[in-house]
Amino acid sequence: MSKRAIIILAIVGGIILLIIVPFIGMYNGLVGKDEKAAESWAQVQNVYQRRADLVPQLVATVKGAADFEKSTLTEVVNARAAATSVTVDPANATPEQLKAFQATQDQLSSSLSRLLVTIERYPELKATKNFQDLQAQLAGTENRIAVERKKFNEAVQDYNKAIRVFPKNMVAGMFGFEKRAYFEATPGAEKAPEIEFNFD
Amino acid sequence: MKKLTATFLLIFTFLAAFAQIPKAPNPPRLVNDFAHVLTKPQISELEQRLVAFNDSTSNVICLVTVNSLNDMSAEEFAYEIGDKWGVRSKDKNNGVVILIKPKTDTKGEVRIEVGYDLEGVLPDIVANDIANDTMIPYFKNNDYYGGINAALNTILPIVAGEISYQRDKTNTVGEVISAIVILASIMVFVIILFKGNNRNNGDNDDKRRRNVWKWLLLLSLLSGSSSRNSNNNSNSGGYGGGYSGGYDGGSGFGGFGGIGGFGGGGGGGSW
Repeated sequence: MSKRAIIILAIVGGIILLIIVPFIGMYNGLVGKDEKAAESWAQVQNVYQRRADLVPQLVATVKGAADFEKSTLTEVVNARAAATSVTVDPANATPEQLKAFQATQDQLSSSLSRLLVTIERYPELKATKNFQDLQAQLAGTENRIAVERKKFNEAVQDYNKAIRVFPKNMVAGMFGFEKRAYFEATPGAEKAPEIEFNFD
Repeated sequence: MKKLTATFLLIFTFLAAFAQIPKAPNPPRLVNDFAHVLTKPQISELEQRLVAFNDSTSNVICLVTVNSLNDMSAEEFAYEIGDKWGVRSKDKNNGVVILIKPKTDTKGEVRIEVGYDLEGVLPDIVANDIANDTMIPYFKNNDYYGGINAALNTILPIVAGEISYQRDKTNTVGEVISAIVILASIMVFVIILFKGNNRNNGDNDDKRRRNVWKWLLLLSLLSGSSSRNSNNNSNSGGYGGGYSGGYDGGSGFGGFGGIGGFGGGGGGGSW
């Protein structure tokens, strides 16, 4: 091979490298952000699951209290069943899936808070250590839900922004990175529901 | 014009969103008495205690007092501090934020925010009990120092049981392997250099010129690797990698670990 041919090859190779290397970087960056969002979604599901796991304990504790009205309890049990039946694929959460998920979870939230309001009328139940511990766990879980939802939304926003800005949008278009769905703000959803403590 | 105002509004809300919690202290400190409920000697005593705890166990316990929660809940406020200040060590989510909002015209509030890795030993119920049974009785008598000390007496042994290692422990195996890799690559390089030298059939002058360049290259390579080694040595004597910056001589706290590490775990109460 002549010297000139080598030089031309080197230049062409260099130009190709100059184009490809940033693309690889951008692609990997997008994959990272996508993974981060999926990971955050897993955390969201974890904390919701944690709440679902607490419900049977709560129901069992409350059931023990004499002549407790059954309607609020069955409402909670049904809402829990509905909430746990909706699953969302973390790799590909569509807005509809997320909406359905959120709707059933919100249903459980409101039936739980109704139950806690009803319990206000049972001071002897409220006074038990068992119930107070459950209440503390429930409050902690609601707080975790608020935090993980916020983190998930942040991760999704970060990802959605990345796939729309130039020149990353080219990479995103080439490899089929699609916009991810996030939690719509339902009124008051960003705050954990008030669960009052009175340990006096 | 409309667009401009919109942009300004956006920037403003953006800034406002970040102005809600106080900025991370610089140099980093573990005791941040923004509400001025502690005396100077009390602050330095608590700081020393928490820094010593950080040195011996790597756990980061951060105390913050504020007079206003800026319309946030105590949970949110404490979480934001833990998350944004980065209250944890470099490689573990082992931070705890103790947030106290003293009773003023508004009710007093305390929140113990627990990092992910400590949620197991410091579950919500325990954090709640510490806040309500240990701290608040002191706070009701306006004895903030007493309440904080009592809480630390409970929290530190619990937390030390979970994660405890000297933070200047360096990964010696990793260092040895990387040293071997560097040495091996230098050797390969040298072999290639001298092999190429032998095959070279140019005239003597040209050869000598190339030799000079090769030796220069080799020398710079060697000196580079030796300075790398000396860097490593000075590191292992000090605080270990990653704790650079922020040593102010006074408190001796090495610095926060980085954003994240909290998931909303913890407990609290009000009075």
